[in-house]
Amino acid sequence: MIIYRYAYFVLAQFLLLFLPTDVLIGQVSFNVNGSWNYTISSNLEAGSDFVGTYTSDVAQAYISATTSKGKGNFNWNISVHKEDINWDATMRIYARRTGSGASAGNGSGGGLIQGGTNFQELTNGMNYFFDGKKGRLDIPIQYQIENVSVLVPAGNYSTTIVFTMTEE
Amino acid sequence: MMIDKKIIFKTVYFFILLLGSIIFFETSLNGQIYTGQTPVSIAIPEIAIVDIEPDNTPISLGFEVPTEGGNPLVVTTTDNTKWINYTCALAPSASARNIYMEASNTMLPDGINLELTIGAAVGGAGNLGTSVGKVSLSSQPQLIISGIGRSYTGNGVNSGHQLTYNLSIADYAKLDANQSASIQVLITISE
Repeated sequence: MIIYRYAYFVLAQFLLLFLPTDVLIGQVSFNVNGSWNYTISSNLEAGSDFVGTYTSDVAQAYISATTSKGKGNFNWNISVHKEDINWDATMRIYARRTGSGASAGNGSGGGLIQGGTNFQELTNGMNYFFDGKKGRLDIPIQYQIENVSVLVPAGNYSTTIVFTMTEE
Repeated sequence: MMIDKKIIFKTVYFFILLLGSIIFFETSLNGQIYTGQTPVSIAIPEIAIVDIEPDNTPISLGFEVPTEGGNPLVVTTTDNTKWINYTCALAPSASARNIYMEASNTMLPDGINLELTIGAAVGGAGNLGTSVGKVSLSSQPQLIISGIGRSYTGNGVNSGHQLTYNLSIADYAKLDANQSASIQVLITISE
């Protein structure tokens, strides 16, 4: 008899393999779009330093976190960090969420977003940014760079802002 | 119609197993991570700019006749109202900048010498330049401030390097009354 019980278990697992993943858990999608490339003007009064703080458009990048309707509870949080390509440690970069985006629809709409609306410094270590429930599209992100000065060696500096979404 | 209880039991057992597997599968997938990224860049230009504060208006220097015969001429004017301001943004491999001064017309009245004293840097931040001290105006570019690194002096008077113009008599024998001259001074910062 115990052999039959194992057979049922194996059959159940076998069927599980053939069920589409989005039926089981909902297809999760996480997209980040946008970039910010800023050139400081050389039009400067002799004796003066640069303004020092530069802020991007309010929607310089967009984050979308969605799932198909098969997912019952889609709770998630987003962390952020930077990965420097060529960056001067004097300059500090910040990010904030300037909106809540749009409902993702397809049954996963509505939802809730909290946190991330104040500029927070981005470091090379991952830090909590904001979290939400259900799917949201095009959550706008704004960037800011501080401590830009003529005392920083002239040149091109670049870094990559990495957003990491974790399902809860 | 009789339904075999064993079949019912096995069917329920099967679906319980299937449901349990689904719940386990979904739970095991919670905590999945997804990443996305955006590039950010900022370009800082090389800059080397200099100006004179508070403005470029002319200054006048002259002599006053002594009230007592036998006394020397009295220098009535020493002008120290002008300041040099500069901003310098340099690439890592760039060499330090220098500031030079030259006069467009050095035909001073005979027997007269015009000197310029460049003060030490005041205010600002960074690797400010070093004054050479005192120079006599010449039609050839003369170094007046050297070794300017990434720096800014601050804007306006009382920032940067103060300029003090002094007239002096080099040779009384060559003096000629009622002579005057206009001199234009050009200041440049090296690239």
